[in-house]
Amino acid sequence: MIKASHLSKHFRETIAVDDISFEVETGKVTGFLGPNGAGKSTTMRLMLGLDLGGGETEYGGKQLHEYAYPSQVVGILLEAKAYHPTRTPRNHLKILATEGGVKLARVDEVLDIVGLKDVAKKPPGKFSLGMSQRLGIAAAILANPKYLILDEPANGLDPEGIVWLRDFLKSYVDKGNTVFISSHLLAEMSQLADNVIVIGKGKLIASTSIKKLVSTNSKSSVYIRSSKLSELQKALADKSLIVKPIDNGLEVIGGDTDKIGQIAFMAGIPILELTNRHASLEEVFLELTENAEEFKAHETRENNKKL
Amino acid sequence: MNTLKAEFKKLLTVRSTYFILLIVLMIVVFFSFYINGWRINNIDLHDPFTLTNDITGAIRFVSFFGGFSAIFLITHEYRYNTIMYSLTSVNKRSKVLLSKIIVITVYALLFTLFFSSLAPLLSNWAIHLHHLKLVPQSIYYKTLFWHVLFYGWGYIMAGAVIAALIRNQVAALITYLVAPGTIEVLLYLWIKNDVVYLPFTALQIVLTGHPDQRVTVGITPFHAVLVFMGYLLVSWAVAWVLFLRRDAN
Repeated sequence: MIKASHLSKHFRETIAVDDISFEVETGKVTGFLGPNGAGKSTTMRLMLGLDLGGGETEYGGKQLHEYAYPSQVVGILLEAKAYHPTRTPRNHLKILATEGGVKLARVDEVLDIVGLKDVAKKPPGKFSLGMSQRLGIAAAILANPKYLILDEPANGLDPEGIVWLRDFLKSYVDKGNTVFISSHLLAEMSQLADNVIVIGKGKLIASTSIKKLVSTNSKSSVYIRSSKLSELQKALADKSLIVKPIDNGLEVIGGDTDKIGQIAFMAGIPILELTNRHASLEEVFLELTENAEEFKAHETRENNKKL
Repeated sequence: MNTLKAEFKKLLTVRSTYFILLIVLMIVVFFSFYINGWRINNIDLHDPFTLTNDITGAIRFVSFFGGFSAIFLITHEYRYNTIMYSLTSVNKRSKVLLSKIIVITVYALLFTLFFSSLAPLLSNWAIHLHHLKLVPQSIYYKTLFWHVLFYGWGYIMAGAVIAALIRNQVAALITYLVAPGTIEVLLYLWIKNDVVYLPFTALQIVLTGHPDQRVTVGITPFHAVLVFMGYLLVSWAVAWVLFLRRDAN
């Protein structure tokens, strides 16, 4: 488990990370979400000791500097293009392997895993963003670490690459490893992550499982269709549920399918369809971070006219 | 030990290291072989210090360019953000900086030794090819050896410490280019003879403070070493503290 306690970071007057504490469960993918400027990258850097601020982070009960080879504990990808443009991917990884006390034979293995074997001896200066991400992932998994901390690893990957990354990370956690990943691709995150940590303006907003986050969100509702809609609407409203007509049926907020089905049964109203409608992760994210966006586009009629 | 090996690999796996070596080689060949050897004049042929002057002359260029390699070894890490890998691979930041200092020291000594040996060989060879003969040479081997090695090491180390303090590649290069040639020359107008207590001037005295030339400078080469080392140690101490206390970007 990764346990981050009281992480904080100030840049003069600006508070980038404000006393954040959270836990990242072992054997799971935990998504790290937040609007631009929320402090995600700074938090990750604090967790790794790259930025110096308040708080501490434990990996399996110990801080990173207590391990002889920290890179064998945590693999990182914080920036895709973090390599020298004239140093070949093979040499780049060989250096990391040497620093991390990893056998050099592992270099060719990871290059093969990420699909960069054919360009292993070519200078990466002209690599696309997707290829750079693959090299970054190779660097992260080089020492076969128990924990992966990845900052926007899907950026620049083509659809095939994204599917590959998803499958790879799922298989990685299936082996008992832990992945902590930030991403702006919320649809992707909802498919990949088990848990989610949401921050905004440097503060922790939520730390829970995706299922729980989505199901307990106010936008989660039940859709019900019946041949006696008006009677059903009255029966549900009588039980203090919020009911709105929608798509030849009703959207009910405040009750689950069991409760609503029972109310309809008691009122003798036939049900044609009864389904849970969960808000998407995107909707939940937008609602949670509504007031926590540092940089927000203001779409007004005047602004649009200027365009 | 792993960090040390990795730092050597960093130095040897970038194009700039070989590019600098090539430039230095070309300069040494041009000056030592062609100017000081092939086109040697009659006065130099009869000067017992021709080879000594050839070595000290060559080592000034060599060290200056060697300093670029040191600057690149440090600033590339920040420019391309590979510093995050370096710092998350070790359990103490000091290991990274210490390894860099050791690698630059070894590189500086080998670099200086190689080119200071090559320069007189090339000039002597060119003189021989031209069917000329130098007068017997007076070479104070022991003194010349440590003067040349210290100068080469010192100049390259100066580049390294500038890079470690500034971290930004362009700013470090500009400082390295401006500090010895411009700042110290301007300061000379103000502090006159006390200029010998400035780092690069002191370093220059170590090289030119040859036993037969010592009367021309205000302090002895040994004192010049102390002056230069004072600056270097204080600068490294500051760089060390900053390396431990600054964010890694």
